[in-house]
Amino acid sequence: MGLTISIATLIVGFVIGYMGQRSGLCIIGGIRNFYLTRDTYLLKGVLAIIIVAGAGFIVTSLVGGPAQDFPAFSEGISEVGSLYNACKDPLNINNNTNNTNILSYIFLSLLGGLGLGIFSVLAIGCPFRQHVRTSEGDKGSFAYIIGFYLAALVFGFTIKPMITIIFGV
Amino acid sequence: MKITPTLTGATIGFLAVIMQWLFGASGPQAYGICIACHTRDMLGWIVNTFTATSLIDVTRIGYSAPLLTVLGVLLGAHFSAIRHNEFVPKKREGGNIRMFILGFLVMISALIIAACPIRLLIRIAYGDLLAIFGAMWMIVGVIIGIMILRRFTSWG
Repeated sequence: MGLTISIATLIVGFVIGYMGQRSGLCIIGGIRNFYLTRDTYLLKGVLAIIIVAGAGFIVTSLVGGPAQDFPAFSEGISEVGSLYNACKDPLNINNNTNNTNILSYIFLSLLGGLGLGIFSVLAIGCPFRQHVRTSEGDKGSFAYIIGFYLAALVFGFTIKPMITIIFGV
Repeated sequence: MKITPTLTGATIGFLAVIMQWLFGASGPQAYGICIACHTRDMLGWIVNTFTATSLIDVTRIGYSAPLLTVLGVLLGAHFSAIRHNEFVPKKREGGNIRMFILGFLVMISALIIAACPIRLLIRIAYGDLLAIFGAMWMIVGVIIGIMILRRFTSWG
Protein backbone atom coordinates (compact mmCIF):
# COMPACT_ATOMS: atom_id res chain seq x y z
CA MET A 1 0.00 0.00 0.00
CA GLY A 2 2.68 2.44 1.04
CA LEU A 3 4.84 1.77 -2.00
CA THR A 4 1.82 2.03 -4.31
CA ILE A 5 1.03 5.47 -2.94
CA SER A 6 4.64 6.64 -3.38
CA ILE A 7 4.86 5.41 -6.97
CA ALA A 8 1.42 6.80 -7.84
CA THR A 9 2.29 10.26 -6.51
CA LEU A 10 5.61 10.12 -8.38
CA ILE A 11 3.84 9.27 -11.67
CA VAL A 12 1.16 11.93 -11.14
CA GLY A 13 3.89 14.48 -10.39
CA PHE A 14 5.81 13.44 -13.50
CA VAL A 15 2.74 13.85 -15.74
CA ILE A 16 1.70 17.26 -14.38
CA GLY A 17 5.34 18.40 -14.33
CA TYR A 18 5.73 17.43 -18.00
CA MET A 19 2.47 19.15 -18.99
CA GLY A 20 3.27 22.14 -16.78
CA GLN A 21 6.56 22.62 -18.59
CA ARG A 22 4.85 22.43 -22.01
CA SER A 23 1.97 24.74 -21.15
CA GLY A 24 3.46 27.13 -18.58
CA LEU A 25 0.39 26.74 -16.34
CA CYS A 26 0.54 28.99 -13.29
CA ILE A 27 -2.38 29.62 -10.92
CA ILE A 28 -1.11 32.98 -9.66
CA GLY A 29 0.01 33.93 -13.19
CA GLY A 30 -3.49 33.21 -14.50
CA ILE A 31 -5.11 35.53 -11.96
CA ARG A 32 -2.39 38.18 -12.45
CA ASN A 33 -2.59 38.19 -16.26
CA PHE A 34 -6.37 38.43 -16.17
CA TYR A 35 -6.19 41.37 -13.75
CA LEU A 36 -3.52 43.18 -15.78
CA THR A 37 -4.56 42.56 -19.39
CA ARG A 38 -7.81 40.50 -19.29
CA ASP A 39 -5.77 37.67 -20.83
CA THR A 40 -7.58 34.39 -20.18
CA TYR A 41 -4.96 31.97 -21.60
CA LEU A 42 -3.69 30.78 -18.18
CA LEU A 43 -6.96 31.52 -16.35
CA LYS A 44 -8.71 28.81 -18.41
CA GLY A 45 -6.35 26.28 -16.82
CA VAL A 46 -7.31 27.55 -13.35
CA LEU A 47 -11.02 27.17 -14.13
CA ALA A 48 -10.41 23.75 -15.73
CA ILE A 49 -8.98 22.43 -12.45
CA ILE A 50 -12.11 23.50 -10.52
CA ILE A 51 -14.58 22.26 -13.15
CA VAL A 52 -12.96 18.86 -13.85
CA ALA A 53 -12.16 18.13 -10.19
CA GLY A 54 -15.69 19.20 -9.18
CA ALA A 55 -17.26 16.97 -11.86
CA GLY A 56 -14.96 14.12 -10.80
CA PHE A 57 -15.90 14.42 -7.13
CA ILE A 58 -19.60 14.48 -8.03
CA VAL A 59 -19.16 11.30 -10.10
CA THR A 60 -17.17 9.47 -7.42
CA SER A 61 -19.69 10.44 -4.72
CA LEU A 62 -22.57 9.22 -6.95
CA VAL A 63 -20.96 5.82 -7.51
CA GLY A 64 -20.19 5.58 -3.81
CA GLY A 65 -16.53 6.34 -4.10
CA PRO A 66 -14.22 7.52 -1.34
CA ALA A 67 -15.20 11.21 -1.51
CA GLN A 68 -16.03 11.43 2.19
CA ASP A 69 -18.54 14.06 3.27
CA PHE A 70 -18.83 15.52 -0.21
CA PRO A 71 -19.69 18.32 -0.76
CA ALA A 72 -17.95 19.71 2.29
CA PHE A 73 -20.46 22.52 2.93
CA SER A 74 -23.36 20.08 3.24
CA GLU A 75 -21.86 18.93 6.53
CA GLY A 76 -22.11 22.39 8.03
CA ILE A 77 -19.48 24.83 9.13
CA SER A 78 -17.80 22.55 11.70
CA GLU A 79 -17.11 19.94 9.04
CA VAL A 80 -15.51 22.61 6.85
CA GLY A 81 -13.33 23.44 9.84
CA SER A 82 -12.28 19.82 10.15
CA LEU A 83 -11.41 19.78 6.46
CA TYR A 84 -8.92 22.49 7.31
CA ASN A 85 -7.83 20.51 10.33
CA ALA A 86 -7.23 17.35 8.29
CA CYS A 87 -3.98 18.91 7.18
CA LYS A 88 -3.18 20.67 10.43
CA ASP A 89 -3.94 17.90 12.89
CA PRO A 90 -3.63 15.02 10.46
CA LEU A 91 -3.13 12.12 12.81
CA ASN A 92 -6.45 13.12 14.34
CA ILE A 93 -4.98 13.20 17.85
CA ASN A 94 -7.64 15.64 19.04
CA ASN A 95 -10.31 13.63 17.19
CA ASN A 96 -11.37 16.85 15.44
CA THR A 97 -14.98 16.56 16.51
CA ASN A 98 -15.45 19.21 19.18
CA ASN A 99 -13.35 21.72 17.30
CA THR A 100 -15.73 24.33 15.97
CA ASN A 101 -13.65 27.43 16.46
CA ILE A 102 -14.75 28.77 13.09
CA LEU A 103 -13.59 32.36 13.62
CA SER A 104 -10.01 31.11 13.99
CA TYR A 105 -10.31 29.12 10.77
CA ILE A 106 -11.69 32.15 8.95
CA PHE A 107 -8.87 34.36 10.22
CA LEU A 108 -6.19 31.80 9.33
CA SER A 109 -7.68 31.36 5.84
CA LEU A 110 -7.59 35.12 5.38
CA LEU A 111 -3.99 35.33 6.57
CA GLY A 112 -2.79 32.38 4.49
CA GLY A 113 -4.70 33.49 1.39
CA LEU A 114 -3.32 37.03 1.51
CA GLY A 115 0.21 35.70 2.07
CA LEU A 116 -0.10 33.22 -0.80
CA GLY A 117 -1.26 35.97 -3.16
CA ILE A 118 1.23 38.68 -2.23
CA PHE A 119 4.39 36.57 -1.93
CA SER A 120 3.61 34.41 -4.98
CA VAL A 121 3.15 37.52 -7.16
CA LEU A 122 6.41 38.99 -5.84
CA ALA A 123 8.16 35.69 -6.67
CA ILE A 124 6.42 35.78 -10.11
CA GLY A 125 4.78 32.37 -10.04
CA CYS A 126 2.95 29.87 -7.87
CA PRO A 127 4.90 27.02 -6.17
CA PHE A 128 4.09 24.61 -9.03
CA ARG A 129 5.47 27.03 -11.61
CA GLN A 130 8.62 27.57 -9.51
CA HIS A 131 9.29 23.82 -9.48
CA VAL A 132 8.90 23.69 -13.26
CA ARG A 133 11.20 26.68 -13.70
CA THR A 134 13.81 25.07 -11.44
CA SER A 135 13.77 22.07 -13.77
CA GLU A 136 14.32 24.43 -16.70
CA GLY A 137 17.54 25.62 -15.05
CA ASP A 138 16.41 28.82 -13.31
CA LYS A 139 18.72 29.38 -10.33
CA GLY A 140 16.40 31.96 -8.73
CA SER A 141 13.59 29.40 -8.65
CA PHE A 142 16.02 26.86 -7.19
CA ALA A 143 16.71 29.28 -4.33
CA TYR A 144 12.93 29.66 -3.99
CA ILE A 145 12.28 25.93 -3.54
CA ILE A 146 15.16 25.60 -1.05
CA GLY A 147 13.44 28.27 1.08
CA PHE A 148 10.12 26.52 0.38
CA TYR A 149 11.41 23.17 1.71
CA LEU A 150 13.15 24.74 4.71
CA ALA A 151 9.93 26.51 5.70
CA ALA A 152 8.06 23.18 5.70
CA LEU A 153 10.35 21.95 8.46
CA VAL A 154 10.53 25.27 10.35
CA PHE A 155 6.73 25.54 10.34
CA GLY A 156 6.30 22.24 12.19
CA PHE A 157 8.69 23.23 14.96
CA THR A 158 7.81 26.88 15.54
CA ILE A 159 4.75 28.37 13.88
CA LYS A 160 2.32 25.45 14.21
CA PRO A 161 2.70 25.33 18.05
CA MET A 162 2.28 29.13 18.12
CA ILE A 163 -0.96 28.90 16.10
CA THR A 164 -2.21 26.21 18.46
CA ILE A 165 -1.50 28.39 21.48
CA ILE A 166 -2.95 31.60 20.04
CA PHE A 167 -6.00 30.26 18.19
CA GLY A 168 -6.58 26.97 19.97
CA VAL A 169 -7.01 25.05 16.71
CA MET B 1 -1.36 17.63 -29.88
CA LYS B 2 -0.53 20.97 -28.32
CA ILE B 3 -0.53 20.89 -24.51
CA THR B 4 -2.43 24.00 -23.43
CA PRO B 5 -2.94 25.33 -19.89
CA THR B 6 -6.59 24.28 -20.17
CA LEU B 7 -5.62 20.66 -20.90
CA THR B 8 -3.04 20.73 -18.11
CA GLY B 9 -5.59 22.09 -15.65
CA ALA B 10 -8.14 19.47 -16.67
CA THR B 11 -5.51 16.74 -16.20
CA ILE B 12 -4.60 18.09 -12.75
CA GLY B 13 -8.28 18.07 -11.76
CA PHE B 14 -8.79 14.53 -13.10
CA LEU B 15 -5.64 13.14 -11.44
CA ALA B 16 -6.58 14.81 -8.14
CA VAL B 17 -9.84 12.85 -8.15
CA ILE B 18 -8.02 9.61 -9.07
CA MET B 19 -5.46 10.14 -6.28
CA GLN B 20 -8.28 10.90 -3.82
CA TRP B 21 -9.82 7.57 -4.79
CA LEU B 22 -6.46 5.82 -4.35
CA PHE B 23 -5.81 7.42 -0.95
CA GLY B 24 -9.27 6.30 0.15
CA ALA B 25 -10.31 6.79 3.75
CA SER B 26 -6.77 7.24 5.04
CA GLY B 27 -6.23 10.48 3.13
CA PRO B 28 -7.55 13.90 4.13
CA GLN B 29 -10.34 15.26 1.94
CA ALA B 30 -9.40 17.01 -1.31
CA TYR B 31 -5.78 15.96 -0.93
CA GLY B 32 -5.04 14.37 -4.32
CA ILE B 33 -2.50 16.94 -5.49
CA CYS B 34 -0.85 19.60 -3.35
CA ILE B 35 2.58 21.06 -3.87
CA ALA B 36 2.96 22.47 -0.33
CA CYS B 37 1.30 19.75 1.78
CA HIS B 38 2.86 16.83 -0.11
CA THR B 39 6.27 18.50 0.28
CA ARG B 40 5.68 18.83 4.01
CA ASP B 41 4.60 15.17 4.19
CA MET B 42 7.63 13.99 2.19
CA LEU B 43 10.17 15.96 4.25
CA GLY B 44 8.35 15.07 7.47
CA TRP B 45 8.43 11.39 6.52
CA ILE B 46 12.19 11.59 5.89
CA VAL B 47 12.88 13.38 9.19
CA ASN B 48 10.55 11.10 11.18
CA THR B 49 11.92 7.93 9.60
CA PHE B 50 15.59 8.70 9.97
CA THR B 51 15.29 10.04 13.51
CA ALA B 52 12.78 7.33 14.44
CA THR B 53 10.49 9.97 15.99
CA SER B 54 7.36 11.90 15.08
CA LEU B 55 8.94 15.34 15.24
CA ILE B 56 7.09 16.70 12.21
CA ASP B 57 3.30 16.42 12.03
CA VAL B 58 2.29 14.83 8.73
CA THR B 59 -1.04 13.54 7.43
CA ARG B 60 -2.00 9.93 8.00
CA ILE B 61 -1.35 9.06 4.36
CA GLY B 62 2.02 10.84 4.48
CA TYR B 63 2.89 8.96 7.64
CA SER B 64 2.66 5.56 5.95
CA ALA B 65 4.63 6.45 2.81
CA PRO B 66 6.50 9.43 1.38
CA LEU B 67 4.39 11.42 -1.10
CA LEU B 68 6.74 12.06 -4.03
CA THR B 69 4.57 14.50 -6.02
CA VAL B 70 7.09 17.36 -6.02
CA LEU B 71 9.93 15.01 -6.96
CA GLY B 72 7.78 13.84 -9.87
CA VAL B 73 7.10 17.44 -10.94
CA LEU B 74 10.83 18.21 -10.92
CA LEU B 75 11.67 15.05 -12.90
CA GLY B 76 8.78 15.43 -15.38
CA ALA B 77 9.49 19.09 -16.09
CA HIS B 78 13.22 18.37 -16.40
CA PHE B 79 12.56 15.49 -18.81
CA SER B 80 10.34 17.75 -20.89
CA ALA B 81 12.82 20.64 -20.81
CA ILE B 82 15.68 18.39 -21.95
CA ARG B 83 13.54 16.74 -24.63
CA HIS B 84 12.47 20.06 -26.12
CA ASN B 85 15.86 21.77 -25.75
CA GLU B 86 14.45 24.26 -23.26
CA PHE B 87 16.89 23.52 -20.44
CA VAL B 88 18.84 26.78 -20.13
CA PRO B 89 20.80 27.34 -16.89
CA LYS B 90 20.22 30.99 -16.08
CA LYS B 91 20.72 33.34 -13.21
CA ARG B 92 18.48 36.18 -12.06
CA GLU B 93 20.52 39.23 -11.13
CA GLY B 94 20.87 39.45 -7.36
CA GLY B 95 17.63 37.58 -6.91
CA ASN B 96 18.64 34.39 -5.13
CA ILE B 97 18.31 35.63 -1.55
CA ARG B 98 15.07 37.41 -2.41
CA MET B 99 13.67 34.24 -4.00
CA PHE B 100 14.81 32.17 -1.00
CA ILE B 101 12.91 34.46 1.40
CA LEU B 102 9.83 34.55 -0.85
CA GLY B 103 9.81 30.75 -1.10
CA PHE B 104 10.02 30.56 2.68
CA LEU B 105 7.11 32.99 3.13
CA VAL B 106 4.93 31.29 0.50
CA MET B 107 5.34 27.91 2.23
CA ILE B 108 4.47 29.41 5.64
CA SER B 109 1.35 31.02 4.12
CA ALA B 110 0.43 27.79 2.34
CA LEU B 111 0.67 25.74 5.54
CA ILE B 112 -1.36 28.34 7.47
CA ILE B 113 -4.22 28.04 4.95
CA ALA B 114 -3.45 24.29 4.51
CA ALA B 115 -3.32 24.52 0.73
CA CYS B 116 -1.04 25.54 -2.10
CA PRO B 117 -2.85 27.40 -4.92
CA ILE B 118 -3.56 24.07 -6.67
CA ARG B 119 -5.06 22.39 -3.59
CA LEU B 120 -7.02 25.57 -2.89
CA LEU B 121 -8.76 25.06 -6.26
CA ILE B 122 -9.31 21.35 -5.52
CA ARG B 123 -10.80 22.27 -2.15
CA ILE B 124 -13.14 24.72 -3.90
CA ALA B 125 -14.20 21.88 -6.21
CA TYR B 126 -14.80 19.83 -3.05
CA GLY B 127 -17.24 22.47 -1.81
CA ASP B 128 -15.05 23.85 0.98
CA LEU B 129 -16.37 27.27 2.04
CA LEU B 130 -13.10 28.16 3.77
CA ALA B 131 -11.25 27.55 0.50
CA ILE B 132 -13.61 29.87 -1.39
CA PHE B 133 -13.05 32.51 1.29
CA GLY B 134 -9.27 31.94 1.20
CA ALA B 135 -9.18 32.12 -2.61
CA MET B 136 -10.99 35.48 -2.51
CA TRP B 137 -8.26 36.80 -0.23
CA MET B 138 -5.60 35.21 -2.43
CA ILE B 139 -6.96 37.27 -5.36
CA VAL B 140 -6.84 40.38 -3.14
CA GLY B 141 -3.25 39.42 -2.25
CA VAL B 142 -2.37 39.14 -5.95
CA ILE B 143 -3.71 42.66 -6.57
CA ILE B 144 -1.80 44.03 -3.54
CA GLY B 145 1.34 42.23 -4.77
CA ILE B 146 1.01 43.80 -8.22
CA MET B 147 0.77 47.26 -6.59
CA ILE B 148 3.89 46.52 -4.51
CA LEU B 149 5.70 45.33 -7.65
CA ARG B 150 4.81 48.56 -9.49
CA ARG B 151 5.49 51.06 -6.72
CA PHE B 152 8.43 49.74 -4.73
CA THR B 153 10.41 47.26 -6.76
CA SER B 154 12.42 47.12 -9.94
CA TRP B 155 12.29 43.41 -10.79
CA GLY B 156 8.65 43.13 -12.02
